[in-house]
Amino acid sequence: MAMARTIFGGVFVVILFIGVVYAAVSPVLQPIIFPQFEIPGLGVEGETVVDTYSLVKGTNVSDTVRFVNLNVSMKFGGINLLFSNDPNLACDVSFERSVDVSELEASYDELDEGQVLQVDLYGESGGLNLTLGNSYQYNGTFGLRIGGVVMELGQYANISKFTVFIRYIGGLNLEINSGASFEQIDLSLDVGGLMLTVDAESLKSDGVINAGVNIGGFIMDVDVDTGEVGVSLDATVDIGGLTVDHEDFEGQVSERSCSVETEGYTGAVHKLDVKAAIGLGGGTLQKTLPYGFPA
Amino acid sequence: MEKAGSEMQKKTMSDYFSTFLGRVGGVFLAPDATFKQIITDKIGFWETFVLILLLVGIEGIILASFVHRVISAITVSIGSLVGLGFLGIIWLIVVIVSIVATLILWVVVAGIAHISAKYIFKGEGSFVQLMKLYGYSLVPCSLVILGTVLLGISWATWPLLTFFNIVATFWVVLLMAVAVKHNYNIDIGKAFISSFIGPMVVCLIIMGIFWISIWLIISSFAGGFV
Repeated sequence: MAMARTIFGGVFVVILFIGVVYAAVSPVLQPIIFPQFEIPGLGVEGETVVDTYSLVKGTNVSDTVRFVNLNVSMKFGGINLLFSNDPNLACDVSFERSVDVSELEASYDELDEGQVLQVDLYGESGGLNLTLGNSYQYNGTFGLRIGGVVMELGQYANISKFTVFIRYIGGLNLEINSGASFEQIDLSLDVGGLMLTVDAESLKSDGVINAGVNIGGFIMDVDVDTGEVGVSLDATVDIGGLTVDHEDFEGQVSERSCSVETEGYTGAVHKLDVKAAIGLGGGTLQKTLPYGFPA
Repeated sequence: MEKAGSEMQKKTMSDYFSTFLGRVGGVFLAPDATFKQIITDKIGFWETFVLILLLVGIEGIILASFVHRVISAITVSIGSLVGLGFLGIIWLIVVIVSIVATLILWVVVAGIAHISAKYIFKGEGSFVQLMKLYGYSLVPCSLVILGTVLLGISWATWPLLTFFNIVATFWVVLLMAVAVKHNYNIDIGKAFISSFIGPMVVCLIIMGIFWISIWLIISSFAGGFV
């Protein structure tokens, strides 16, 4: 009996010993591996490469092309779009990505007897910089799952319709400066913030902006010459609140909806109509801050 | 002379370890006789204390190794996006909390059993002696350690861990009743009430007070009783 007790005691000690050994070696021998999740530009370390493409009149774009259709789709990352003073440039693309991420899939074709240049871009994750010229009429769809989109429309912008959406989470920043020309821009995102800045003495055409945010905030900064540019805002918030803090605007404002326009809106040379629908969150209309955040 | 002294000391240590193994094995095979022997031998308090530290500490570090593996995977996966360095100490927190909680429970449960056996059922016995016996009552928890290791090796062994947990729980409850019985010389029914029913009743009362407090706090935020 005494021997049996000692043996059971020994088994007890062996179990404790196995426990100690297992705890020590299991993190090394049995590591758990989750899929790696990275967003370029947000603290990711490692080597990066840049894919570049250019579509230029006379080089790879026919002289007959008048319109450019852009179809841009990305999973993670950022899209940065601006216009340049280059009459021959149809589209310049640079895509910065990590070396272990697949490269940008880019293709183009000329349609409608060479009048329309169709450009398709698809990237997994990275930072996409798009530079467009000043002599083409642009249409575009820009889709992103997670990330940010920054668009700057100035005197060289000539847009028929842009559709920009972030399917899940991110930020959208659209800046409209003097001399921009666009007919319609649709902006939508599921969760995040949408910022629209109108800082223009004049516009080349009337334009409409439709903004939709499911969860998050909508901020509209306006600083315009009300005689040249008449701006209206029709906004609704399902759950949350709206704030209109701009002396140039007049109209109806309630806690969850507003319909305001700048003084002299009817007589303005060009009009910019903004319609915003916010689900859960808040909306603010304010005068453009004189100083931005330091870059 | 020096050599003879050294051999004597070695023999004593060897004997002590052999006796310790016998006591641990005896808890599995003959708890009645073993507990009587522990009372008679008047073993040191620190022996039991170290035994509990070993049991809980080793179970704690195994669980901590699980936590460490999961956190390492999370850190590798999304650590580049957000700072997760603070997660590195969670394994240490797991070990420390396991040990501290068990030591507190050890004292509290033994205290309740002591009060019940000595003052309600008029038994004769010391609190410190009961703590020593309670320490040895936790020996079947080695089954839980074994089950946890098997689970770590393969998730498919979870039914075995569940089985070991159930067996160990019933076994420990039974051993605690036997410990109270021998420590206070009361019958097994009273010992069971002191060792299990008593702490359970106290636990239920504390939980009841806790939930009533929560209910009152929530009610006060809602503007009155709900």
